[in-house]
Amino acid sequence: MKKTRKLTLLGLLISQALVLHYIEGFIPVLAPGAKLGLANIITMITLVLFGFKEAMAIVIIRSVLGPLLGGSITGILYSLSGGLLSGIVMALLYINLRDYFSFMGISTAGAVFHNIGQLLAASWIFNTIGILYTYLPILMIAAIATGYFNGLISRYILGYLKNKAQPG
Amino acid sequence: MRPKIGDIFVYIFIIVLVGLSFLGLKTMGNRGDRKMVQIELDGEIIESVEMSETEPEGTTREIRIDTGDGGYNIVRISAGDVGITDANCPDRLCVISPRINTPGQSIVCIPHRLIVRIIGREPEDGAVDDTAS
Amino acid sequence: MYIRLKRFAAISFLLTILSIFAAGCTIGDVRELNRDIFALDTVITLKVFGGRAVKKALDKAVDRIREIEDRMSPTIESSDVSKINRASGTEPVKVHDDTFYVIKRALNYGELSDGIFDITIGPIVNLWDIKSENAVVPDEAEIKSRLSLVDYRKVRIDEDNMTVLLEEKGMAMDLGAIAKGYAADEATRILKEAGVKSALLNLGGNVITIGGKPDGSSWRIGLQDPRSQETGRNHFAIVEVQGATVVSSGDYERFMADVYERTGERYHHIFDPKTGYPAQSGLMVSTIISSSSIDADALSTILFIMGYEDGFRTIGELGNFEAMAVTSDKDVYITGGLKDGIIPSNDLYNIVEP
Repeated sequence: MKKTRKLTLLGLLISQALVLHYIEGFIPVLAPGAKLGLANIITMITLVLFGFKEAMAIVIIRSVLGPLLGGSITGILYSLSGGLLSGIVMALLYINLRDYFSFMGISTAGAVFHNIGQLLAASWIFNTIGILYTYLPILMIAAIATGYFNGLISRYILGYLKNKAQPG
Repeated sequence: MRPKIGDIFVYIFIIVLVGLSFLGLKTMGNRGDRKMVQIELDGEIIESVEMSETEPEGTTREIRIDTGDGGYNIVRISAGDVGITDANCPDRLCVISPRINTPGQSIVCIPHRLIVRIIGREPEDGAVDDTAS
Repeated sequence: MYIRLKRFAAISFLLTILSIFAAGCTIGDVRELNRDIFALDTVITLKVFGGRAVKKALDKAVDRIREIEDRMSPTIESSDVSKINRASGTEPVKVHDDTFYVIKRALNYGELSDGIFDITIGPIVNLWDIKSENAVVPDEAEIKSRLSLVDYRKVRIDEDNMTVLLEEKGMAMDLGAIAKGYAADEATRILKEAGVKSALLNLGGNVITIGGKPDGSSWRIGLQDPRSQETGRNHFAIVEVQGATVVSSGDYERFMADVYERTGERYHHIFDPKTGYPAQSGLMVSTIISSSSIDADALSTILFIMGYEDGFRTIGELGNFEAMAVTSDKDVYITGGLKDGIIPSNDLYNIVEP
């Protein structure tokens, strides 16, 4: 793949991740922290199309820019810790163990670690480990649903790209 | 769409995590002495600190809260109780307020729109829902 | 294949959102909503239990409290009370219905207490300025001269035109002893109209309960120990109530702390309109329990200034109110109806059987 083409595609993916992050702000959530994590779809796609380095770059850029678009500075800490942890886990699973996992499985694992990362950041900020126990069960159950959903979408999009628009 | 073998491991991992956190919740509840100091500025919780009566002496913490426009309150959290030790509000009522030690109690600094309160799960015997003053 | 996948994706999308909602809601179907606001020169906390509609009612109640503050606070330039004070000795001021109502009720209480409850105490309050950092005991001559401006009978109200006039220049009205009670009644009314069955409100120490707790049991309300700094205790007793308001007046809320530390003399914020000095009736706290906050607010002040004997007689004549009076000897006098409702929680205080 040409360098320009790659750069353009990555730019496109970042802006898509940001848009998804932004849209997600409008979807009401009742359990604090239980978000759809739509931006993880983009992480997943980047991971498959480009690889580990590029996926991490997108995670970092999205995590820093997203909260700046509509959120607080502490939001960066949350999304960075969640995004990086989940990105690393998904990358490890996809690169090393892709035969044993479906996209839904990888994405669910990503959602789980996204939540764990955010909770670790929150317990560090609030100086208490208590948050972990209280929120983890709810967030884990939400992660099963969101992870499966995001995995399905990723699979659908990747399938579509493979058929219609072979990259590079 | 049959889940692959790895997917099942992910779900098992989740179940184990949920189980562990329930276990954690339970042991935490049993400890009974879990109290949190919550500091609220202008309706927003800006600080939540865990306090424990079993903490050894010398773990006293002082937190300086800048309330804007040069205002400040110093909140002192020690083993067992919380108080405001200094402030530059006009009435300084928060400083002369007695230190608090029970969930449900609070110290308020009206000029700085600051509330320091203790929250906790297990109220003690003789606990009340609110205090008329 | 694609179409089926699309439909599947759409359905799972919906299911995901639903499951998130479910996760948020299923923590018991009675939700607890809390709101802390600063208004009426104090901190107000509202704790309301109920379903989804409650949030709107809570917002409405908060708006109403702020509206009352905007109309009745003497420190807000555009309030009815500020306008009345600025126009003292000159011309009648047209006021809002609710301000008029509160003033009328306050004047009724002035008559009923023979001038013990007096909303024209403003000049004395301003002279002492207990709230400020450098409050000092004012000159006796100064107090005497200001006292001539304190007389609730010189408030002229005109029901037809809804106007209020302070007859003498320099008079000042302060609704502080009654506006909180009115605001509490209004907030309670709004919440009840929205169907709230269980709530606990605290307006700067005035506690108002709607119904009982969500499980049906009574609210346990602690009564502030007036010397908690010395005794190290929180409450002098506890009362159990449902759908009642508990209002205390005492010498411990606002007082000149530095003077007290030096001399043991407690200059507090409840002034006797007859003397111009903080009330000296031998009471540390007075408490009223009733179904109406505006009445409880006014009566607790009256009881505090009048003292135990006269105060209990006045309240007894009105009926419908329960009261407590704590003397400086730490004796707690109670009215008959409280005999079973009060729970002794502090052995330093001696509850006197009625």
